[in-house]
Amino acid sequence: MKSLRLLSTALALLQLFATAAPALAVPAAPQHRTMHLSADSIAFYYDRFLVEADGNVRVTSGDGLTITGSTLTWDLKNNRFMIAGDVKVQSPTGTQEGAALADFLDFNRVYFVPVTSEPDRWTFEDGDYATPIKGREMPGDTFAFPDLSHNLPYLYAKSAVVGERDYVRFQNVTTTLGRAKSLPLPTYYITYSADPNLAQNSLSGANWDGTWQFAGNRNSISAIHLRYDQINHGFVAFEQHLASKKAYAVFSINPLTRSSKFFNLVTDYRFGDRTELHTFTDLHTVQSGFKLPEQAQHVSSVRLTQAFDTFSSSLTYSTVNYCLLGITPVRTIPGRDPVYQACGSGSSTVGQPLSASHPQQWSLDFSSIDFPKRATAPLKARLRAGIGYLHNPCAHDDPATLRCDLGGLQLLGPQGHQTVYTSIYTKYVGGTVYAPSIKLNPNDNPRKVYYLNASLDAQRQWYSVPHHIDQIDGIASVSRVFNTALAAYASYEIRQTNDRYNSAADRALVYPPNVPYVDPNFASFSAFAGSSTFRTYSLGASFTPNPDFAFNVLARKHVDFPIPVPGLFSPPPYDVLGQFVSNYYLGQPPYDVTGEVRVRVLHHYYLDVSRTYYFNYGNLRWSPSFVIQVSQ
Amino acid sequence: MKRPLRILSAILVLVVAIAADAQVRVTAQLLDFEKGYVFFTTGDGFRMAPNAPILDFATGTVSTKAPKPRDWARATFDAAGNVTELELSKTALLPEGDLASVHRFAVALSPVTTNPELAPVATTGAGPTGTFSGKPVLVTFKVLVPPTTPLTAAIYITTDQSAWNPQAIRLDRIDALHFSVTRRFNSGTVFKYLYTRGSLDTQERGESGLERTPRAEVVTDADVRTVNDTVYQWADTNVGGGQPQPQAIPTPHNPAPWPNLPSGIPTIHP
Repeated sequence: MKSLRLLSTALALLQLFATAAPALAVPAAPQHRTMHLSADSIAFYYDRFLVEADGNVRVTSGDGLTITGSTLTWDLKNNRFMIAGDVKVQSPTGTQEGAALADFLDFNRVYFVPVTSEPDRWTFEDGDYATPIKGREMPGDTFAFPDLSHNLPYLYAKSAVVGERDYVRFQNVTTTLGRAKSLPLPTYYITYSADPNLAQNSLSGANWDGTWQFAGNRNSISAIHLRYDQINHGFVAFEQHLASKKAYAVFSINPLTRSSKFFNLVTDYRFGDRTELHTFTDLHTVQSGFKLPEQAQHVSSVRLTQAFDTFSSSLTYSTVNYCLLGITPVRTIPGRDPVYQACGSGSSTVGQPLSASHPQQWSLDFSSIDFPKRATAPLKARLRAGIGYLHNPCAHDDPATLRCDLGGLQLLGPQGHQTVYTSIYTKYVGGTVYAPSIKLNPNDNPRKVYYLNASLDAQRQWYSVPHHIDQIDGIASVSRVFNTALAAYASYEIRQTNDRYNSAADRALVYPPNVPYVDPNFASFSAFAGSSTFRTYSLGASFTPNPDFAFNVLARKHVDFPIPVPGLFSPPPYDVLGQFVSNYYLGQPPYDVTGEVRVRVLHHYYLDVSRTYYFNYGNLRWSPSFVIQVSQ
Repeated sequence: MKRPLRILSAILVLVVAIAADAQVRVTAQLLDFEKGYVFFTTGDGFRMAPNAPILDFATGTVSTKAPKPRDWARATFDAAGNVTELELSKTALLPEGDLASVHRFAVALSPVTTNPELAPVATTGAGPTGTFSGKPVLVTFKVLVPPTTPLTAAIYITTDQSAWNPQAIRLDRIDALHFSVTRRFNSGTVFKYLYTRGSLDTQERGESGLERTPRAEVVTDADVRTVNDTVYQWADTNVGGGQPQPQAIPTPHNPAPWPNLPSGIPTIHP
């Protein structure tokens, strides 16, 4: 019942959040006005950020200004509009009539063609419509209409609110499908702010996302997302954005229409130029609608970043609770004991084992800027170091309450005398040296120059459990731009990971030799004792004969230890887009070729299609699906 | 007697020819039509001659619709600068005549005064008049990415022109540390942008490790333009490592640095 109350409260807060967002938002900057537009027909051209209105056009602003006319064109990006045809201006400082009016909002300047006894050319400045500057020259395109013969409207509407420089919100909307009108919507909000804070999101990726921003202003957006991914298929998500110049907060429920729901909250706040606080919270529930959840987990993290002149530091705290609900009676049968949903049984829908564990982690990290700072330096380096503390209080199984089968953090020691580590301290140092571009054959013709790019990254991390992990990653590539259309490169990467335990007994416990993999096919893995080496040879080429077409190909050969054997290593998990979540994993197919084609399909849109071929490794020929993206 | 008549006839023909020559025709888009004046999108207003016919351009018959803003029109001017005929079209008309040549006929009560704000301004990259021509410019973005960027990474540009879509413009890898893309922009285009690895969680960070203010680009009047940028670090590989991502409850602590060892190896938990 307590959980139910919690969820009810959360739901109520969510509703409050969505409706009260504008009230919570930081007031808008005063120099950006909010203006209202109405007309018989309003069309919005998204690819050019143009609003075109016809018939009984009326523009009003909060300072008492009303302008009417027959037709209007509003260039949102250039922040100017023009009304033509029987124009009437009513303002607290005066009333005027004329043929056309152009308001250059950024400059607080209005160009006007009055018709008194005869036409004239007037300019008004700073909203003073009583004192025209008569006869002044005007920019050549002041009263020009845009040529829209090659553009299609994105939507039609009856009225709109324009938050100068930031957003436009349409009302009584009809969306379009090609040239045809389609779905009617009460409102549609579009942001075109130069500040990315309002565009932050807390949703995971999706193969397709259709967003309906149904409410919003300068500091908030409320949106419904119609989405598709390979796990949930078609579903609906909700997202609420709040932002100001220094901060943002984004809340989402994704999916809203599946039993496995993620409630995400991301916040960020900058204290001045050098300090930033960032938080992330993810609550996962399995519940029908908003009924009592059957499962619930959560993860939260808080990070405080402080920048200094030559380095930056970061203090991070994160915590995970795999069983928020504890032991839960899910079914009561008269005359019998209730049936309990224990956290330690089964697995969650996101593939994580259910557990009563709730580990926490603190870390303090330092990272230098690149040095030397000279831009032309052939070699650059950066260093990093940090300390950390991990703790998981759930140490032992307790059949009467919760299972702790993922309890503690690690088990180590001789058989029968093993120690459960519930706390682990860590420290690490690392650094990267890299050469951005070194000419291998100085030549006056840049098309004949080969460039060497290389980087070497090394890190050692020590644990209070007696072992340390070394990681070394080196990459070198030779590249050449043959002409404006063709560039190619060859690269070699070696990545070595060594997990070294201080005692042979501990190592044998963590990486048991030859057992149970005694099959000769697994000989390589039988020799594996905590050290791996990934070698990757790559050949890549990019062919872009013009900005409207690109073809990229990447062929790779992996020579890894342990040697990959089909079926031995489980494939790494895919994300919701069908891509591997990890870039480095045991058992990579030895050969792969990825092809990618990008073609401009519409004036502002490109279609990008790619797929990988694995040469029938373990019956794996092609990557699970084509990756199709639309870009701009 | 015949000779003076011939001379008179010749003069008459000449006058008619001059009169015919004095007629000027221009095509233009209408801004307004009211109170006996027709206005073009140059902002100029011209007097309509009394009883001047308004015709349909396609059929040549009298138009049933009144001239409206956005209509296209072919206007015929007499020597006095009055519009003697107006032919209307809903579609754009082929250019005919020169609007500058009829500017002298524009009616304006006040004498023209110069506008100091229209004086040429020495703007870097702008055209000779201090303004941008709007011509298409090929802009190549070439970016140096952090050495810790995975070889399989895809790099994108996110801009205010795309409402900060994190996958707005995809770049192509040209070597281990560089990506590049070429796009067409009209000169004078001003936009802000950042680099991402496909999501806002993997957006670039400043050298200080903090969120960086968006880069700004003004597309100047040139045939081609190259923009060289450096990304110092990504948000998820930033100091302290990546934070948890949406929709991904993290894996319990794994002391072995491989995500997919076979089942039971290593024995990490009781």
